[in-house]
Formats: sequence, structure tokens, C-alpha cells
Amino acid sequence: MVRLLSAAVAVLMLSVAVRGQEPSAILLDPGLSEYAPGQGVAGSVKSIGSDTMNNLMTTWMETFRRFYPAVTVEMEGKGSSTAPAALISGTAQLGPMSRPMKASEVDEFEKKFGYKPTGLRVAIDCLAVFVHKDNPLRSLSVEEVQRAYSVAGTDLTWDMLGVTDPSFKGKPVQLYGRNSASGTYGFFKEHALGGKDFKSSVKEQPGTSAVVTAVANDRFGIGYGGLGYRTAGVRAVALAAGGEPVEPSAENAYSGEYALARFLLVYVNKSPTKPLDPLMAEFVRMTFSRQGQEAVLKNKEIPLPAEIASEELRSVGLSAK
Amino acid sequence: MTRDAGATSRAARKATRRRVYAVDRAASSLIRVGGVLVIVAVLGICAYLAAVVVPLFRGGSMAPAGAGRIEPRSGASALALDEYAATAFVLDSGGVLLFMRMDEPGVLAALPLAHEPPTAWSFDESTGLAALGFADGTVRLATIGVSASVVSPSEVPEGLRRLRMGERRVWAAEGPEGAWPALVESLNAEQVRVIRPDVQVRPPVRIEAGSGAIRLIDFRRRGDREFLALRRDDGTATLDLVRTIRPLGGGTPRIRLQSRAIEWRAPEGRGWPSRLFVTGDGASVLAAWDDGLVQRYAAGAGGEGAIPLAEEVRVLTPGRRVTAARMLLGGLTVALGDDAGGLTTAFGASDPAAATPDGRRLVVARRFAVGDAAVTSIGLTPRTRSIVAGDARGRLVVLNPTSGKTIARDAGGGAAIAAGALSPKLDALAVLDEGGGVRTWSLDPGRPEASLHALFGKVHYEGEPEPVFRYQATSGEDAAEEKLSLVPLIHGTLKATVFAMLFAVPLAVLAAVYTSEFVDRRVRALIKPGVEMMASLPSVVLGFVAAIAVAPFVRDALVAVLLSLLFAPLAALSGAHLWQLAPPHVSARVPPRLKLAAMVAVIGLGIVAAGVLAPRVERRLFRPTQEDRWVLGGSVAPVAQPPAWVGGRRVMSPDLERRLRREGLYFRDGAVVRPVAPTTPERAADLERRVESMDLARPSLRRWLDGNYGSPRPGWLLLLAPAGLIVAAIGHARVVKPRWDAVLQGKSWTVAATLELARFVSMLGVSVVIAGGAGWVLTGLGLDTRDLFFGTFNQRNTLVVALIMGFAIIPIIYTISEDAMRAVPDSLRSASLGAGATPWQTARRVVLPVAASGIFSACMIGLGRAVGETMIVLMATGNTPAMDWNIFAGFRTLSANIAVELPEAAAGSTHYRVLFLCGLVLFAMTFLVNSTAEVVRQRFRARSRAL
Repeated sequence: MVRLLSAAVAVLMLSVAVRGQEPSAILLDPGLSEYAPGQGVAGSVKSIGSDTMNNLMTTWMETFRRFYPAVTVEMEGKGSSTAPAALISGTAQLGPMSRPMKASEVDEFEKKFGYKPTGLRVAIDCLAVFVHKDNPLRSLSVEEVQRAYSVAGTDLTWDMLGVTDPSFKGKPVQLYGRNSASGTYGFFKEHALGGKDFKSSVKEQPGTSAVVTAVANDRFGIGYGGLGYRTAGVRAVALAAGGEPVEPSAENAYSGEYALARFLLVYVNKSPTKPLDPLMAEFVRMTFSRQGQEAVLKNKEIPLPAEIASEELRSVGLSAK
Repeated sequence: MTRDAGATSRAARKATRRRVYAVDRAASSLIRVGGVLVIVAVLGICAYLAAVVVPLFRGGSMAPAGAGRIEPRSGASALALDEYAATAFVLDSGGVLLFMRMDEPGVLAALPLAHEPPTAWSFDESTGLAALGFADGTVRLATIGVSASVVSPSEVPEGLRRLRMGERRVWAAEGPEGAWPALVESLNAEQVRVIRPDVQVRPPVRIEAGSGAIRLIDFRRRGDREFLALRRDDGTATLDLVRTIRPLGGGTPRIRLQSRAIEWRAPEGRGWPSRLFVTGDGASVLAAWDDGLVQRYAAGAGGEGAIPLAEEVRVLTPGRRVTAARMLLGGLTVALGDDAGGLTTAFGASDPAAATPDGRRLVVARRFAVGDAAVTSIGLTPRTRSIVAGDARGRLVVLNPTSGKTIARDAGGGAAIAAGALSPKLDALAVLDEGGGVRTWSLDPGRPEASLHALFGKVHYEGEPEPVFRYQATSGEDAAEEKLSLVPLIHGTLKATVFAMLFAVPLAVLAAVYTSEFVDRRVRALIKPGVEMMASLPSVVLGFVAAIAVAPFVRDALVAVLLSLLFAPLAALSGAHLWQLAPPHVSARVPPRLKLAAMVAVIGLGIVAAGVLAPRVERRLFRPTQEDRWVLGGSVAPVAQPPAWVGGRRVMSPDLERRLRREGLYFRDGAVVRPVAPTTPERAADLERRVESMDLARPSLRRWLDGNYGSPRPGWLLLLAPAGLIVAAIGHARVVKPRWDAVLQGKSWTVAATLELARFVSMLGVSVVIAGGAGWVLTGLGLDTRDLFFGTFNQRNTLVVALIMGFAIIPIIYTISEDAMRAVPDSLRSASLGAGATPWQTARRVVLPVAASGIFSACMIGLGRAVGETMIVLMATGNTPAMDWNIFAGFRTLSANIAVELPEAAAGSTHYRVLFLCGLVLFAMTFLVNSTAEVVRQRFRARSRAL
């Protein structure tokens, strides 16, 4: 049901998003190779995992089906934490995650298969901090984010975060966040809050689009989520990590200056002694091809440089054709 | 029946009887089987839940696995195990790394990390990083670990290809493997795992500041940051911060380095500290002396200059001496073992009232008893919070400092433990004693994080100034403490239930009284199915409506919604009194449906009135007081002696500001002030003019709820108005009514009705006076509704849930109560009416008491539904596991928690079992409610039977 709701909200948001934001200035790395479909590929692909990567996985599945109409595809996106269980039980071959697997999750996998799961870095994402579009706030430091969201800080009002607008004075900061199954929740807790706990007053939303909607509807709200989900109703603020504030953008993600830039991952079950099965191999190859990274761009995420794409392909014993 | 046998004939009677008996027996056994099956099913579910939950409370155990001996050249310093518990490393204090296997302890290889023995060292389990400081002022960092690879058997030498499962063999240190031997184990016919040491020693770094040997060192890494604290012979102490920025777009990492001096201020008459730690967040440097005195230097206070001393705390009880000290996993908690067998944990907690430069203070969290001998070692595991403590008599205790659970013990009896370590998966442990003896155990940890105390009690978590109830089961990393208190969830369940019942029960029961006792058959035929239709709406739909439509509506029309909760019943009452003004021959002729329509219209009018009056009420009640306006206008004077609790606070949250205001004080620009009346009328006018234009001074309920201004009185008025009305009504019925009846005697209908109306209006006035007076008294006592039932407005809140969940449970309560009242024999009703009682008197004094058991059952079924309701609360609240009663904030219920978190919980994990425990607690709650209900119902029933 939560999924249904988030899907409904996502459709809503998408329609809003089309009208929103500036055109993307990011370009694909010319080094990415063209995808050449292979022979004799059939079967079904199933993906279970991240909600943040829902749209991305859908686009990839569609692209894949264009090359191989005989292949059936299926996907579910309830949160990154659902991916390891699905990979272990074999209900899915692809486990998209917006955070790296925890050691305890790797252990469970290893207990069954003997080897560790393989995480492929498929795209780059900026985890952005969103405020309402009327909020004059331009930037926050990571420490301020920590004070607002974590139990280490007291309850904040907007003037305590440096907003001087009189209508924001004395107004408590309304916190929105993701549900605990999401990788975004885990990544934010680890990297923005320094591992500290979320305040119990953070209102948990079932999907990033729901977080964005909630902030767009609440003048005094603040939320976090993948930059790709940004709409006209919210604004992503710049983040300062011990220096100048840095805007969440492709350049700042590439350079590593933006504190909450991350790789989006797809975990696969790759035995070190056997090659990937042809279906998976073709899917992975497509993901790292020019077409695959174009899909990343289409979903307002940040595509990989060719260098990382070929590195990842090598890690599962493949090469771009 | 073909035979024409008379019904009275003997044969026919016998035949019928036999069949009836058979059917009767069949039916009764079928019913019995059905009943037993139901009980079995319920018990079965209960047993299954319990079976999943019970392992949470089980302790762990340990069994010896191996023993051996190594010869550390100069005393051991650190011990670590790899994640397969196949190998162990010992770093001896001469800087030599010894590699050994766990099943047959003995040195497989030795590697000196430097050419000379270090003068100081530290080791961090979670990252496997060892830091060594040398006499010449250089520091060397080494990452110690193993690399494991899974290969096909053909890649290992012939003799190692066919190993038994679980058997490990050494792959000689030859060929491409270099100097290190590897361990080989078989996974299955096609795969073998090769485990080999992986040690990377970074080039030495010369420390510029100070001179002489490095005497104390501590190194910690978290994410992309590394912290190095050290002290040199000449007394120079520094903290270096290294931030490595790894470009996601590829390329070489950039390194940012910041070096800060620590401003040493050794306590009176003491030398250098014996131990030095830097916390994992780089915010504090701790220096510990042997008698348990700890100095904390605040590096997180900002700035580039020297790091100042923040505080000095005696962590150990006087008379004890520190014999072992470690920073626990996560690098925030320091654990000190003492010579009397005690283990004490302490950490920095943020406390805005603390008079330290960084607003933190070091708090002593817990004390454990290991034994009666000195604690000589504290060993960690890289992934969880469990630790192993060893003492001077060789005793071992494995425990989890967060939950306080003792996992396993070993009585020991050998030499003093020099070092201990737990494996990453917590399935093995190894210790090294002073004589070089190595012992290993296999460990079954049970559920270290779960204990009755952790699940239902207040726990002192890392970074908290005091113990708290907290639920936050999921973390971004393995090293985090799990917060598993179910108390906030139970609280949320109760909060949802209480508010939903407060809304639903009066409405549903009164509606039932209305349709069963007052209205015409035709009207009832209209209303009852209508209400029952409400029950057919799935709760998902209700939740969706609540979240998407009701929540924003309540946000935009908050005052009107609150007022209409008061105005709608008042309008109905006023309507009834006005109706009485009509002469009986007129009113009796009005068709019942029109009467119903008129009543709906009157209630609608009440709601409209609430909407119209809302802005005025808001302006009148929820506005800044005169003192608030003076402060807003800047007419203040400084306070020499602020209250003690204000401490070193430089910012204050709204609830604390309100606390201050109760003492007549305000907080402005970081200081406590007191309002002052403007001295001249001109100044007063000027101030009023300025304040008038301020956004913050505009009357607004939301602002008032935020605690920005205003006296607590309007809140009490709003909250106590219904209670005032009830008190006034009862008072009138007891005191005024008997005399009033005498006054009405002999008056004409119209006059009597007018006088009745006057009495009603005066009663309303009295109720307002009662509510206002009570509010004045409560305010005088220093109580504020904003600390209790009101507070900052959240869009997803309890009010919305109460309205919508009330909508879901009203039909059940209504329909069962209605049936119970209809079941009251008409003879009772007729007798009452015949004796001259009005329908209301009959309903109240005859029907309601007789039907009480049924109505009570109805309420209890409604309550059961409210307790277990999932979808509405899941979608209409923010699922915030908070512990307040604020009706404008959300909550998290047990059932919603299960629904939200079950998809992510790995089967069999602690989290998974805790969710089952939520189910069991929910089960117990409904069981308790239903059993109490049954007892009460039986009592009612006995009473009504006596009637």
C-alpha cells in the first residue's frame, strides 16, 4: 500500500516536475561505448530494492526490453534494505541500493553462497536537503543539518538556522525524512548526521517523492532525498562541510566537493569462479553503455564517467563491446 | 413423511426425537470442535509469536576451541580476529605483527612494522588501523587485515584441493603469495576460500610540532576523516585532522590537512596523563590519569586556534585505579577498567546547559562488575557493540554495554589476560595472557542487544545526557547502538486509541440513543444503513483521504475545526431549546424527516458559525500579552541573576523559552531579560506602532501553539470548555432544576419555553465562567496546555487521525449499541412513559442502564479496532516515535511499526524478533482490554438482569 501511495504521489510529482526546473547542463562522457545487443538472450529479469532508484530501474528495464522484446522484466522498490534479502533468497537477480550493503547483510549473503555479493556503481546521485520554495535559506552547514535532524541538537526554529525573514522567526523547523527501510535514510544518518540518531519528531515518508511533496506543502518544512526528485515547489540548499557552501550539482558531485554525493549501486550475485549468465551480462553491459547512462541523465541523475563504467564492467569480468 | 402418522402418536414422536437428538448431537459437537479450533488457532498464533520472541531473551554461551602459545617479544598490545574467525593478529609492543591461526594457535608468520620499537601505539578495531609513534618523532600508520578470495580448486596446489568441510590448511609461503602464508578452506566441490594477511604500511610521517619521542598516540578514522592525537616528550600535544576528498568522477583523492595544538592544562600537582584518546567524531580529545580523572579538550568548538580544556571529570569512584582503558566501537565511549574489577563507561553528551565551550559534557553512563580482580584488558569486535573484558585472574566476561546484557562468562583461573578480541561476526573470541598463552573459544552470542531493560526501560545511549526511551532500530552502519525501546510505540498506540475513542464514543452512543429512542421508524430506516455504510470504507481509503484531503484542510482551518467540535453540539442543544418555543400543536405536526433535516441544518449552521467566528476568536484569544509586546518592541531590562537551569545556553528552544516566561522572564539575543513598561505615553504609543507591524506579533493560533507568545489561559479555556459545560449542566440539574420546575409550574407553554431557553443561556455563561476560572487557577499553578496536550502544529497529527479513525469505529459502536437498546423490552419503555417520564428520562434512566452491557461491549469492540488499526495511522501520521501527548503532533503505533519495518528486517535477526514482540505486545494489550471488558460487561449484565 505504501508503494501504491508513493507510486501515486510519484506520478503526481512527475507531472509537476515536467513543468519545473532548469535544463540539465550535464553531458555524457564521450568515452562511453555504444551498446551492441548480444545473441540468444531470453528469460526474465527481476529487481527488488531501492525506492530512490525506482524510476532509473524502470527506464533501464524499458531500454533493455527494446533490445530484447522476449525478455520479461519485473521490479519492486520498497527500499534498499529489501534488496539483500531478495538477492539471498534468489527472488531477484538485481538489487538496486542507494547505500552500500552493511557488513551484517554481506555476512548473510556469504553464509549462503560462500562469496560476497558484487556491488556495481551504476550512477551518481546528490542527496539534497530541500526546503520550501518560499524559504529564503540558501545554504546550511553539515553541522546545522546535524543540529536540526539529530538528537544531538535541540528543537530548532528557523531563525536559529539563520533565516531572517520575519515570518520564519520563532517557527519550528518541521522535519521530514525517509522511512528506515530506505538506503537514503541510512546514508543520510551516516554521512549527514555522523551516525547520530534521528530526532523522534522526523516525519517518515514512504518515498522520496512523498518527502518532496510534504516539504512543498509545508512552508516551514525541511526534507532530504535524491536531487533527481526536485520539483518547482522546493529548493535544494547548498551544503558546507567545513568550508564554503557547495551547491548540489553534477560538477560538485564529480569533484567530490559536495558532501552528500554518492554512488547508486546495483548488487548482483556473481560467483567468482563462474561468468555472469548471459542475460545478466547483457543487462549490466547495457547499464554501463551510452544508452544506459543516457537513461540516467533522463532521470535527472548524474551519469558515470567512462573510466568508472569500464572499471565496473571489468569487476564482473565483462568488457564493453 | 409419507406415513400419515399423527403428530401425537408415540411412534412418530420417537422417530422425530431420534433425529432431533442426532442433529442436536452433531450440532453441539460441531460447535464444540469449532470453538476448540478457534481457541487452538488463537493459542497457536500466540505460541508462534512467543516462539519467535523468546530467543531475544536468551543469553549466549562459549565453548573452548583451541589453545596454544606464542612468544611475543616484548609484551602484547593488540589482538584482532578476521571475519571468518580463521586467523588472528597480535601486535606486540615492539612493533612486530604476529599472524596466527585460530584453531591451532601458534605463530605462522611475523612482520616487523618498523626497524625500531615504537614509543607509543594505538589500534582501532573498526578500521584495522594501527598507529605507531617513534622516538624520532615520526608516525607510521598500518592497515592490518586479511583478504579473502574465493577461487576454483584448480588454482590452489594439488594437496589442498580436497579438504574436508571446515578443515583449514596452510598454503606455504612460496610462489606468487610472497612472504605471507595463506589459509585454504573448502566451501564446496567447486570453490575454495583463500585467506591471506593483508597488511599495508604507509610511509612514515614526521610530526613538525614539538620535539622528542612520541609518548601517547591515538588514531581514528570515520568516513573520509582521520584524526590523530599525540603528545611528545617536550609536552607538545596536537590534533591533526585529515580529510580525504575522493572525486566521484574519478581521479586522485585530494587531501586537506589541519593541525591544531592542544592547550595542555595539567591538573594541580600532576604529571602527564597516562592515556590519550581522540573521539571518533574528532570533537573531543580525552586525557586520562591513573586515578580515573579525565580531562576533555573541546576540538569541536570551532576555530583554528589551540584546542581549549573543556572540563575535568572524575570517572572512577575514588580509591580505584585505572588498569585498562579503551575507546569502544564508534569511538565515542571510553571504557575504563579498574583495579577492583569494575568497568565504567563514559561519553560526551550534548547538553545545551553545560558551561563548556562546545555545549557538551562528559557523563558517566554505566558501571559493570567484571569480577574482584583488576580488569587488565578490554577487547572489541569491529562490527557490534559487544566487548570482552579480562581480569588479572584470567576471568573473562563478554557483555553488551548498551543493553547491559552479559553474553557469556569464563571462570578462568590462569594468568592475567593481556589482550582479548571478539570476531567480527561475534562467533569466536581469542585471548592472550601475560605468559604468552593463547586460548580461543567459539561463541554463540544469542541476542546481545536485546534485554528486558533495553526493550522496556530507559537506556543511557551514547551522546545522551541521561537515560531515555527511544525506538530507532535501523542504522546506516553496523557500529551503531540499536535503540529498541517499545515504550514509545506502546505510548503511540495508546495515544491514538484514547483520542479516537474520545471523539467516537460520545458521537456513536448518542447517535444510537437518538435513533433507537427518539426518531420515527422511517427516519431510523434512513440513518442506520447510512451509518453502517461508513463501515464498508476500507481503512486504506480513509488513510488516504486523511493524508491527502483532511490534513491540509485541518491545517488551513485549524481554529474553525476546533471551534466546530464545540459549536456543533452547542448548536444542536440551542436548536432543541428554540424548538420548544413552538407551540405543541404546531411542532407535533412537523413530519419526522423534516425534523431531521432541520436538525442537520442547525448543526450545519453551528459549523458555519464556527467558520465565521474563527478569525475573531483567534484574534481575541491567541495574541501576545502586554509583556510579550513590550519585549517584542525592545522595552526590556537585563536580569542580573538568571535561573540556574539556563546555565551556559546561548540559544533556547521554544518550550524552554516558555518555561522562562512562566517566571516572568524572556530570552532575547542570547541573554535573559525582563519586560519593562514604556516610561512615557509617547514611547508606549511608538512601541505599539512598531509592534503592530511585526509579523511575530500577529495573533495566530499556530504561533501561540509554537509557544512564541501568549499566556496559557486561552488554551485552558479551549480545553476545559466541554468539561465546564458538563459541570454546569450537572450543577444545574442538581441545584437549579428542582426550584426551577416550581417556577415553571402554571406558566403557559411559550413562557415556560422562553424561561427554559433563558436557563440554558445562563448555563452556557456559567460553563464559560467555570472553564475560565479553572484555566486561571491552573495557569496560576504554572501549568500550560502547551506542555501537555497542545504543542507545535504538525500537518500529520493526532487530531486528524482521531477524526478519521473515529469515522472508522463509529459504525461498529453505533450499530451494536443501537441493537442493544432496541433489545430492551418495550414493556419497560411503556411503563416508564406511562408513568409520565419524557423520552429522554426513559432513555437515560431505563434504556441506557439496561442496555449498558451491550453498549460497553460495543465500545470495547471499537477500542479493539482502534488499538490494532494500521493503515489510517500509517498514512495520516508521520510515524514519529515520540513520547508526548500533543494532539497536534503525530505518533507511531505498534501496528504501523510492524507494517513499516517488516520488509527490511532480515528473518531471524534481532530487529525481526523485536517486530514480532511488537505483535505480541499488541496481542497482550487487546487481550487485556477484552478481558476487562468482559468482566465489566458481566457485572452490568447481572445488574440489568435484576431489573
